[in-house]
Amino acid sequence: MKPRRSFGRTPRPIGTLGENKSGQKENGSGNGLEADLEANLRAISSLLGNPSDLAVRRLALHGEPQPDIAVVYLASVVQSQEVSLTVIEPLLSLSHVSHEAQGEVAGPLEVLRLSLPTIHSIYEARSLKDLTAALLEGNVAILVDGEPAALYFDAVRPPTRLYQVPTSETTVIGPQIGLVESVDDNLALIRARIRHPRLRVEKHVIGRKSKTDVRLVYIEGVAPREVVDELRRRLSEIDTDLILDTGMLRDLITDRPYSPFVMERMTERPDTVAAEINLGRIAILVEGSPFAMLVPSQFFTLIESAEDYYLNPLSASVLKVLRMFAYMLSVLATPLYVAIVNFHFELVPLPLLLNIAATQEGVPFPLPFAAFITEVVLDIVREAGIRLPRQFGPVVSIFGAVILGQSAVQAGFVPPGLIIVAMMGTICSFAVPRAEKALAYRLIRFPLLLLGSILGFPGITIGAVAFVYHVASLKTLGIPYAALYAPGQTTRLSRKMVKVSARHQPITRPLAQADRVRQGEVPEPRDPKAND
Amino acid sequence: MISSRQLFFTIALARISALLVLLPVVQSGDARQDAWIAVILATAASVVIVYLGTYLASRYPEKSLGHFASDLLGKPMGTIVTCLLALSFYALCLIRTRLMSLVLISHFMRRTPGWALAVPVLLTAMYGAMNGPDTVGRASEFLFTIMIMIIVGALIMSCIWGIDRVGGLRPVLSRGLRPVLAASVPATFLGLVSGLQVLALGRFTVDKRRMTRAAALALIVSGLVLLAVTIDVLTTLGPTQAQMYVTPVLALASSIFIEGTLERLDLVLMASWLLGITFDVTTLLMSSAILIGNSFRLDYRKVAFVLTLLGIVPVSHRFTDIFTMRRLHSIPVTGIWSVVIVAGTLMPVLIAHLLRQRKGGS
Repeated sequence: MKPRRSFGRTPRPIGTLGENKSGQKENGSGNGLEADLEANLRAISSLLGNPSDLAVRRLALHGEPQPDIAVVYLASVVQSQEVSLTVIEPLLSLSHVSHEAQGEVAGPLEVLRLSLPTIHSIYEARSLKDLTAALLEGNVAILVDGEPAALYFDAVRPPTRLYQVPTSETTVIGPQIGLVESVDDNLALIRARIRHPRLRVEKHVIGRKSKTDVRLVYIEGVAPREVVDELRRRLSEIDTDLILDTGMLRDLITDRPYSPFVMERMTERPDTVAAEINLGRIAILVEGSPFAMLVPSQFFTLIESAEDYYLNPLSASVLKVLRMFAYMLSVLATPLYVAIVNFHFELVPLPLLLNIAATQEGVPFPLPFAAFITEVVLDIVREAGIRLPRQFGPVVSIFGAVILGQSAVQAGFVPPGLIIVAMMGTICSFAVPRAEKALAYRLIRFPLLLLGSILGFPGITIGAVAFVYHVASLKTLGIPYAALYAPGQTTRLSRKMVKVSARHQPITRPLAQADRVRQGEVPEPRDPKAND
Repeated sequence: MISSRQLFFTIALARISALLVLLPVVQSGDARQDAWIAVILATAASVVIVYLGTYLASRYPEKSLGHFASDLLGKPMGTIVTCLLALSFYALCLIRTRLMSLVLISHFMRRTPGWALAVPVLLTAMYGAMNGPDTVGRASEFLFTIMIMIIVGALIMSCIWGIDRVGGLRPVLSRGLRPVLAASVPATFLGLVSGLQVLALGRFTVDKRRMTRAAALALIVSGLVLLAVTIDVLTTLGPTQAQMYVTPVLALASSIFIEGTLERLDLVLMASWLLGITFDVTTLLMSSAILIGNSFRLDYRKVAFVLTLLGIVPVSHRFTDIFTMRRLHSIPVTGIWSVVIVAGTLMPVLIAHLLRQRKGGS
């Protein structure tokens, strides 16, 4: 039997005793690590299914005949060269004699930790389950013969790309930098914009298999505490296998997943994240996603663009009103056209009415049916334009919109007036800054089209009231989605539609009714030495 | 829960919608040019009656009429009193739905069956009512804003394009006060019904101290809007012509058009009125469901669902003409109905409350 060797006879806990990386106490569940190094290595390899990328580097200290330390990691997620520089070289330079002496008083794991000063956070695992989980997350483990515990530390970050211009929220003025797939890089971008000591970053690990790193970012005293608590509760209740993107997380925390109204705001702009955090919202960052999710979001964020922060109040206000008008047109244009032509033609001036009547001649399909088909085809063209490679996108858009439309009119499939109106609606939908919301919101034009076709203006009006009731019934994390004057809300419709100059910005905010940090109710943390 | 502002929007929107198109002050009685005085009288009377209602509601902040009427009058009597008001709300909800569909059929969609308009409105009202006072309160913010914008726009346009037809409003009580008082009865009835919904919704209001002010302010603001509309109708159409039309406001709007741009303003006004009337039907359905639910310890959402199903038949069966339906807003009907509500519901509860207060005080 192989003799057991160890630095010290009385192993002593180090650092945060008995705590794993996520700060949870070891409960001893699962198989505990043994004191035998080889047995632990065999168990790890077996538990991971003998993976080909499992690297085990056995080390023997100066003067030792047999290896008594093993450095274990998954070579596919850890850079071997970096491990050699930061771990193996310092370990090999250790003097056996001096550290055996130190081990008498400090314990071998403590000695090891002190020997790796370049690594800022070292954690301890006492069970195989925790250790294998740590290896899968990209940690490097150090096992010592004779110790029923192991050290591990984060040695690598997943490969990511360079910061790029945000593609889904382009602006003419303002910063031209977007979030990337690395949660730490994204956090750095946010911290660069908010350097307040009350900026809080909470880490959650979600996904049984993906173990995805999810961070909540908010300003304490500005974000409503009950909303933060509710969000924490919902995240802690998630039981899923994989979280690959903020979109997947949204489905798990949203109040009404089947509503066409997306109640969470997605952004890939760090300046938007910073500005919204300052208004009391909470940003959710997910490892692997270049989009931050901002909660709780409200209906009027539909017309808010990142550019609004940088434009002068008058221009921003005009643009907001214009976007609202564009959104309403994108939803109502086709249903109103059908209702007017079918039921209320007397509303239209006579020359225009005669033109419309002339173009209706020879069209074989009823107008509502033609309108429905046109809208569906336009959505398909739009979807195809987005999904295709960039080189083909414009070609499909031009072919779909111009050639197909013109051919359909010439062939007498659809009246030209309908094509004009439907195209106008589609173009208007692009004026809405929140692309993910605009797409979903436009879905309601189909029921409105049906009601307009059957009941004319009254049908559209009844549908609009039902739509208002639905929006009014929505809540996101306990905050009404469409609140203007709800209890505890200080928002005014005018403030939603009009940008107020920064010097006249009220202290009260839509979410944090009283920004307690700004009002001085929550004192900013002070340096205790400042009073000395 | 709803804020006092939302209560204001709810009551104001309901009252404007109930009175706007039919404008009973012009049609009922023989006030003629003095019909605008009837609006002021009706508003004042509504404010007084609704003040009594909000007084009661604010004394029992955690309860609706269904609860405190039973406490004050005993369970059987309390239930009867509550159901009387709840059934009034429900009946008005159905009457208004039918009237709405009749107005639309007679003005805009002559070939559309009445039930095709009445049933969707009732179902939409059910959807709103089942979502509760919070939702209705938040919806009122948007709908009130839209409706007021359209009404103000229409008034401005009627002033600009109808300026050449403006007549005078000279006679002031030349025929005595009686015709004016008579003309104010239907408007008072409709106003007090809108305002007395605080007996159902008061429990859901956050700030009970502001409830009375919000309700009174809603009646006054809606009164001002109706006053402006009434004066506009009387000056533009004239009292005789205004009395001839079933819907004088739509008649006024149809006479205004911008050559080559907007041929029919009445259609736009109708759309805004329909927004309001659908909301009004919703609040009436919800208030009746809340009161019945409280009296019989039932979930008001289920009650609203059942009431809607029961209401589909009366709103869609054997469609009468609008002239028959209009009689339900006549002076005798609304007068008796007002007395029944005030004497049968409000007064017994108020007297019982005052007696209990005196006993407690002594």
